[in-house]
Amino acid sequence: MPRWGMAIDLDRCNGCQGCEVACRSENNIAVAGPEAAKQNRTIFWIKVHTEIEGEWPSVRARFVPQLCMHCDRPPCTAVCPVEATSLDRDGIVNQIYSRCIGCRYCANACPYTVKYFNWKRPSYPESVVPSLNPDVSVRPVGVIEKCTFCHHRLQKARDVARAEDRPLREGDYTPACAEACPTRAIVFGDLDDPAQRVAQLSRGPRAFRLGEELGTEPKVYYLAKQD
Amino acid sequence: MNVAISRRNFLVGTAGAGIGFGLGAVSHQFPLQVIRVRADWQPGVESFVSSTCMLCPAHCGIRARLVDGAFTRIDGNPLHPVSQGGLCPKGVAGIQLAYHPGRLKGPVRRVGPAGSDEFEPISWDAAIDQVVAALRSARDAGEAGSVEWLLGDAHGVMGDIIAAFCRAYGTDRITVDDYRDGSAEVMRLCQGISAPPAYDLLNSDLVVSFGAGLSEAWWASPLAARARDTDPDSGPRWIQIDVRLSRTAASANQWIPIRPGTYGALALGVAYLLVREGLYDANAVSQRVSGWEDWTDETGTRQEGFRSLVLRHGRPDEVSNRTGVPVAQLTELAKAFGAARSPIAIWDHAVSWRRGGLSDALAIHALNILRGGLNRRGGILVQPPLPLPGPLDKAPAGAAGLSPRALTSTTWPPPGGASPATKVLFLYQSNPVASSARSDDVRQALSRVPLVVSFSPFFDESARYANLILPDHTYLERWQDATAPAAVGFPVWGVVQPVIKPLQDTRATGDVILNLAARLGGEVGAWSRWSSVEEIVRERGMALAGAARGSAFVGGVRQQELRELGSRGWWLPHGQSPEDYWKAIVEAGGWFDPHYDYNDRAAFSQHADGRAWIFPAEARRRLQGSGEPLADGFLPVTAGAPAAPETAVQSSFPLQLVPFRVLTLASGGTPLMPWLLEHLGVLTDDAWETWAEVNPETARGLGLRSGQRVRVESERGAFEATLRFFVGAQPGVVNVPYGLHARVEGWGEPRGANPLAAVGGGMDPTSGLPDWYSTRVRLTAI
Repeated sequence: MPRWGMAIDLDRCNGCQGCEVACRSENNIAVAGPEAAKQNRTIFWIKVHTEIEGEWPSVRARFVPQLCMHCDRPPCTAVCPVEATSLDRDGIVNQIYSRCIGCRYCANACPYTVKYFNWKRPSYPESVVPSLNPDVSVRPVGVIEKCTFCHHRLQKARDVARAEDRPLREGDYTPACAEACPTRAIVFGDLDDPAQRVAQLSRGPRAFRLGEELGTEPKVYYLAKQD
Repeated sequence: MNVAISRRNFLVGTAGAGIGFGLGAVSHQFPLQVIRVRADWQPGVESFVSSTCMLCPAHCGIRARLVDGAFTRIDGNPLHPVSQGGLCPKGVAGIQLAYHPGRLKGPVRRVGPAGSDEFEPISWDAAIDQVVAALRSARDAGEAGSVEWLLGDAHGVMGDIIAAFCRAYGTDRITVDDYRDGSAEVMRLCQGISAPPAYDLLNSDLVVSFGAGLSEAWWASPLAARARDTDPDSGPRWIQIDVRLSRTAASANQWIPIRPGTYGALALGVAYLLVREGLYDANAVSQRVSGWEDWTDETGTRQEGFRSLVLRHGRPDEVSNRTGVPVAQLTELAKAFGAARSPIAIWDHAVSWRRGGLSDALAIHALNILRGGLNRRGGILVQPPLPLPGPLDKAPAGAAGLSPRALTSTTWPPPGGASPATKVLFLYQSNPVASSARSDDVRQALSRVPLVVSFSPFFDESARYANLILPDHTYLERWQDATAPAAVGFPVWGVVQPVIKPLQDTRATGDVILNLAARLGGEVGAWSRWSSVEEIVRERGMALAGAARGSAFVGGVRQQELRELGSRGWWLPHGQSPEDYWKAIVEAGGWFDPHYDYNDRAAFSQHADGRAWIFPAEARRRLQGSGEPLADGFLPVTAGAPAAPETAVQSSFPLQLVPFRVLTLASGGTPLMPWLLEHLGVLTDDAWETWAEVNPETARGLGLRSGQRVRVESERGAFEATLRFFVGAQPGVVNVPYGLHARVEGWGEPRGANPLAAVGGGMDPTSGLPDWYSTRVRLTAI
């Protein structure tokens, strides 16, 4: 089985947020509004964080897009009392909304704070409903949601490969964020296939993972800035 | 208005997605319905339509994704030769514009007082009758000049239609807000070429940007993004000189902080070191550049050449004093610029939208001239013209076009009122009540016009002052064409085509104007043989088939093939007939010709002697007469003592205001795209409102806290914003994003402000461009 993972080149990321908006569009993330923003309740399956160091005029900044790390040893799944979140056979940490009882244990357990609770009933203006992506379900109030590596695209890519009677190839399955990135900072693929770019990058000297010391074995790698 | 998605109808409505678990399960929390999937259920059929994004001048290629005909997403078009499949957040969020709940359902007329909400529906026929009657009566009264147009982005065929209509009708009162940065004027003065420069970023090994927002609000951000997308060992090194730690500065290889308004002085300092160290292209300069050595002009006056002047005024210690850039850093910059194989010095509004900005821009372009970077691989190019038919109406030479007119945000309404008084005013992609620095004047002026016609698809601030609103389609529902910005070194012609049927009872403004012309008849109607914009766009596409150049958009390998073919005078064919060619263009999204002739002398200089000017005599005369205290009358250094920020602290306006642009706010449509509003400022993590960045020490000195609402006040006006501590802000400076001024109700309620309220409508008299960067302000807590 492939082990899907991602490498994000921090040298290339220029913080444009194209990934954030592509994700919102692909995954029907409802607009939360200014009040929710004040309470830190806006949902971002991927968010570009800025890390700033130093004092004027010696200031440096780097942009770090953060999404679910799809850990190989995910702390969130262990605490879920109802098996609403688990590591599936593709290495994707899934989230089954109709099983979720909204206890938020997983959100608390996640060291990357990338699991979001639906505090309010997500709503869409009536005129917007026809534009929702039919491949992705909308979420109700009271459940946790997060990045799924756009696994509906994996299902589709698998169907196509099966119909063409061939194995999945590199590039068949790409999440919306990686597809939209104008600087090609996000590379996605099978970490276990040494021929794929993501596997090579993840083994390169610049690769690191967030919170590596926690032993969560994240599958999102970052390539350190060189300057 | 909002449709709440309840847990129950979510489950019913997403049967396909939810199948596979919990069929018939009964939750302890909610009773679940059994999901019924009809036996004939099938996943939707996906299709894609190519078009062009119209949300900024970069005009990236887009592909609309449709599922069973329903438009669900905007992707980048991988065949587009500039954007190559990449798309910025605006481009993706464009879908929110089409489906925005605040869109007008059809034409309306105002029944209440100007500025009110009281409108009622009107039929298209009745509305057009009313406009035709007003245009006829003005013309019959011999007052065709009382008809006026305010335009926002009137690009490509739209600009041509409006220009042809106005010429035929007999008015030249067209004011365009095209956000030009004055670089075309610098090119005209130095090289005799009336076009903004193109930059060969992909082949340059050093890009030195003087405040240009390359990753944010530049002409061709995708080009800049691609320029960075290379091997770090061989790719261009990127040095950003900027007054704040902008997103561009943060993503460049190096950022050099500089005091506001001193970009030109720094360029002069770099030029000094290039000259002193012999790091300039002496051959090119002596043989092909005028104004370098001392000369005697036609009046017999002795003029000092740039060499003598720069050695007098560009001394590193003085430049360092003025700019705040340490001498060591300045030297390093000059060395890098002098040693690079093909360096580019680049600038934009941050330099030119200021009193004395022309002088600064000339000093920066002088660096390109000194390094022999004109019309050279990896240097400053000129985009070859598109092989399209000329104006729609065979315009006489010198007829009023769109380009030379002033910018709406600063010059409209003219002080003292319009002459003759405006009888009919058309607003196309223009919302001056929100965008202008003098919005009260704009409101009054609009209220005085007997017939204001707005083509806005939204009920925006200026549309409230219209007597009639004839809503346009969004760019996702109409035909148009869109060329690449001049900053790209080769011509690209993007097709804008409807990806969905109009969602409301709207009409393409181009079609409405063609209809108006036909209805007016006589000379006014004579120029137009088209009944729709689609016909004109198709005709242009067919013309490209016969151009014997270029190709419809093609993928990477074929692009390379086309380059090879182009250098030998060949091109890529598509089918047998012009119709086939047109089909290929529509399917791929556009046409391009990547071939560039570096040997074309006309792209070096079009002055009679074939030489380029460094600080041209004409510019010297203009700047000397400008009344600015510039060194020797025209060099970008103030003749007096440098104004250090500290000396002004005691005055009543102790801080310098720097309006800036960020990607999420770089088009007027952001308030219509809530996805962008949810994370407007990536550096300071701002959302939904206008913020003011201040260095923590400066703010603490004023007793202010981060997150507090403040009033930013200048001599000319004031606005409110939320204060943010930001270590990337220069002490003594307030940075405020521009672009969150318009407001449309219906989806999210941003709390925006227009920093131009404090900036005022000041202008640089030598360039006619706005003066954005000379405003002193004070901050007070609210």
